[in-house]
Amino acid sequence: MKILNIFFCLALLLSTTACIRDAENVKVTPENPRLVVTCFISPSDTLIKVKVGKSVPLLGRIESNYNGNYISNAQVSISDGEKRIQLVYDSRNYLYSAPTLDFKIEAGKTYFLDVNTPDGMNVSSSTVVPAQKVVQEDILITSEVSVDNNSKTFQVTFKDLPGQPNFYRIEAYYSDSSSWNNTIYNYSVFWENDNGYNLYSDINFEDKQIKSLRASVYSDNTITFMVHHLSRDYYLYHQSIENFQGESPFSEPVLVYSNIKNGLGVFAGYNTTVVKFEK
Amino acid sequence: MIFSFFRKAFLTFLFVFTFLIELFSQSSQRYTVSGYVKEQKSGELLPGISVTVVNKPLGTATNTYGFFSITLDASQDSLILEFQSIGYLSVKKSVLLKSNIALEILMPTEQESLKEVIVEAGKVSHTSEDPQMSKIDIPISNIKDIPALLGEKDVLKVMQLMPGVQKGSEGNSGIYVRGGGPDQNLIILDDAPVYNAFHLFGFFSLFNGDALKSVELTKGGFPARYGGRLSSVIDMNMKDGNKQKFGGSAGIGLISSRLMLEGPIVKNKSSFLISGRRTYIDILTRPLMPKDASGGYYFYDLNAKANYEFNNKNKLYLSGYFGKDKFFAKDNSFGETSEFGLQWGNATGTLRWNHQFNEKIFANTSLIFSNYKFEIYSEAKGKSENFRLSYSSGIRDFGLKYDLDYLPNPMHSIKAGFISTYHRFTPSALVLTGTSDFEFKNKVNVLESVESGLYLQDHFRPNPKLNILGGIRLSNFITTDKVYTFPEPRISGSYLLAKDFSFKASYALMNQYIHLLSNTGVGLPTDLWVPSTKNVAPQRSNQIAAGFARDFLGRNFSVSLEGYYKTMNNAIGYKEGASFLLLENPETQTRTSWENNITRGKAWSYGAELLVQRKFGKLTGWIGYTLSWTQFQFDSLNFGKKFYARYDRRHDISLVGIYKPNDKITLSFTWVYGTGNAITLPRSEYTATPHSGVPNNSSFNSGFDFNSRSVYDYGPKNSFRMAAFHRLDIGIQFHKELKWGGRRTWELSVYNAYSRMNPYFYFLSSEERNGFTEGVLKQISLFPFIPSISYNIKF
Repeated sequence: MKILNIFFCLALLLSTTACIRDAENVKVTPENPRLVVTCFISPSDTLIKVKVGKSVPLLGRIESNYNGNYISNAQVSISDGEKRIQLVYDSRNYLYSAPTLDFKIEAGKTYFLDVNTPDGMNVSSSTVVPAQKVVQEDILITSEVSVDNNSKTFQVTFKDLPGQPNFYRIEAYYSDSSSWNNTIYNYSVFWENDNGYNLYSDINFEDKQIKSLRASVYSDNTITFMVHHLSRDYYLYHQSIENFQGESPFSEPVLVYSNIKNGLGVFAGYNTTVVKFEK
Repeated sequence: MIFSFFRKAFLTFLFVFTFLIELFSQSSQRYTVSGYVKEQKSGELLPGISVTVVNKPLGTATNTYGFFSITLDASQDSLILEFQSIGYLSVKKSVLLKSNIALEILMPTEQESLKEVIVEAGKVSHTSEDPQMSKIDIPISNIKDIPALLGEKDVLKVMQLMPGVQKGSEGNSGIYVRGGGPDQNLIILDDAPVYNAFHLFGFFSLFNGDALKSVELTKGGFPARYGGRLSSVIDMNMKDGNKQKFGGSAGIGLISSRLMLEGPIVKNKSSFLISGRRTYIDILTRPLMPKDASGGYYFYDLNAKANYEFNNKNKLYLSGYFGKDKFFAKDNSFGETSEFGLQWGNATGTLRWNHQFNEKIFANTSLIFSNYKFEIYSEAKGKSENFRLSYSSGIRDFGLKYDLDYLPNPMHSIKAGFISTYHRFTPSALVLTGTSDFEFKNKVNVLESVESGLYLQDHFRPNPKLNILGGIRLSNFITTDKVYTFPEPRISGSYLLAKDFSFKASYALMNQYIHLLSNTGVGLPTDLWVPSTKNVAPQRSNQIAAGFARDFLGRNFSVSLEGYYKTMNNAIGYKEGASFLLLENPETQTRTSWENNITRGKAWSYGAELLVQRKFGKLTGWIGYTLSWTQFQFDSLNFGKKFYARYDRRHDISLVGIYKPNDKITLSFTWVYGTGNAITLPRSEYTATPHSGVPNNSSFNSGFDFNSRSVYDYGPKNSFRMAAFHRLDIGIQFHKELKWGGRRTWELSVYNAYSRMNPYFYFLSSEERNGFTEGVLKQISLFPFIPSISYNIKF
């Protein structure tokens, strides 16, 4: 609350002797920029996509962080321990990609990602694609029409997979034509009280039954629900971005998860089950 | 029900123990010498006075209420008992043991006969013989001699100069004992717990020493009579007041003034003491404020105590502490008065009854009250509107405590007792009075619990070389939907390896049932006490310590070296991004919101502490050195990896010197050094891209969520070390005996004599330098060279 910030500043002011100056007697070594690599893989994807950017050190001369400082000349490869494939840069989407027809992503397998740049930055990572996915028949979607008949409220319930911990994310979308160019787009459904990515951990559910937040939809079109079974990397990364707050003297800083060795970002697997809700 | 259970268990305990002791101590005819030790001039009862039998390896010490008892074999020759303590001349008393003897010993202070005192060797306490380790007595006179920030004497800041005890940040009174946070210290004033011991956001503590008789800090090897916190016990007792004549002291300092009065109500039977302090910046600035608006800040403390001695065996004490901090802003315009403010304060009250059953059994019963309340309010008075909105939080305790001292023979000193406290927590209360009709007129969120403890301890001296202090505490906590009961074993011992040289070791298990939610750790008044619940289990610590203690040069010097290893389970941490400013939206906050914001983990703290102390003479003081490590591991912090605590301090050094060349001058200095705090600072900024499984989204980057966020890379948690901290404070006092019998003291002191810029806080800023935008690390330093002056008078 602002009032408290004010009083805190007042308290600091009370000691009118307080002084601000460059930090001294402390080791401040300016960091070098680091590679920021982001990649999510799943057996149901048609394309493997990797984003490669650069971080901007906050000490020393500051460069801008426009559009994530994307790097277009990196060597990006993915391997399953036996086979390795090189990804190709797609300048329209600022990412490196390879079709899964050429390199299959399989449930339960471990994958390795390597990124090298001509100026000598090398990072690597590995992740496991979850072996299981939620059984389609175990997913129950309930809907309720609002009083004014304008919208429908949905809730997803499904049986938790065996073993612990299990992490999930639920996404949903419907197709509609855009009002400004008549192109058909997919629109994401928003979840009530969701902090960002609609994540679930089965630790928080006692009866092995996961119950989602509710989503209100103002459309009569078919809704596609996706229940992603997540790797721990996927869950921690999204949870930390969700919680990230920036600098505040009254809260604990939030560390953003990374499993990229010598770099930042994430390489994570997931396994999706799709259920359609027809109107 | 719980009370009757405790009573039964307690009585059974006691009976069995008494029986066993009596059984094993059957021998020749024995008699008991018992009584009270008082200060000669004031009649004040003196705790911790050592009582020894000259030329025999037998001894005891007075308890908190000045009572002692020693049972000896009858003899034909008279024995000499010697009573000794720092600051007092030793007193010898010859007794002929042919019957039980009751004594009243009057101890003259050193000062009263300063001129002819020649420091005698062997006159004082024996660090090497005390079985209890990790314990420090802070002489009240030291608190008055040591220079302080703005001249405000502060008990807790003197404690920070002891090894194993560390400060949090510059100028702050918060205490960190052996890796434990400020919430893990049990601060008790005349048996009443004090929940927020700080004024002005932690820069000053509530205790200035004027009203205190004794201050004792225990860091480990806790006796069974204490419980309820993990890391330390700070036990303070207020003075009773002079029973002989009226007197007092007064002081004027830069930011506050003090007054203490004491005297007899009925000579030698009853006395009182009242001590107050108030800051006056608000009064000084009042004339400068505009007429229609004003604002200010003040704090005050008030200690009061009265006692009545019915007879030698029954004494009654009533004591209390009241203190408050207040920030306020007033506005008078358009015929309306509006006021806005922030206030917080403690009140404690204790009614104690001392009863001596016989020459061997002494009992104390205490009724305890403690209340802490923080309030933020806004009120308006006028023609159209008349309302008051108040948001508050706090804790209120009612407690009953019963302690028994049983001294059957010189081999055993037994203490047993119980304490039961009813806690009423108010994490948030929103009260609206007036004309408006908001939905929350009175939204008070209350949690209740009962905390109890039952203990038995024995200081056992099987032979002159071995001292064992063993005990057990049974602690119990009743909270909503859950009852916790745990036994807590405690043992410590010393073995005399050679004359004045001993080895000591201890083990203690502690449980903490109430927790402090703090946003900043700097002691803000918004810090909130909450109970353990079904979901939030109690915190627990296990500590072992071992070390050597040596007295030499006629016991004028003592050296102690201790190593400790402590683990804490179920330690409370705050989830990343969590905030406990319940003020943010008080109407939606519920009990679960704080439960969801905390996370449980493990902590390890280990290290070594060296204390070299010179206790009397013209130059006194100590050197303290601590080498320590404190690490945490929380599943939901730092992604489950171990990290160093913010106050992990590898090296900590304190030097304290007090020089009194004559009775007109006191010179003093302190120098402290400490490794910098471990904090989390951003290193770089980058774009974090989330995933989205929605195909052909309106996002231009399919497969990724278009809501990319700019985030910081902090590196691992607490991976940045602040600059090391060091500082020198110097003080000089000029004393003069006044013609009418009073004594005045001028004190000049300097805080941070060489103006070291110690960082309080770091932040990053970007500045134009050399034609480029550069990121620069900035520091805020609070207190450079700060001189102060004060005038004190004693009458």
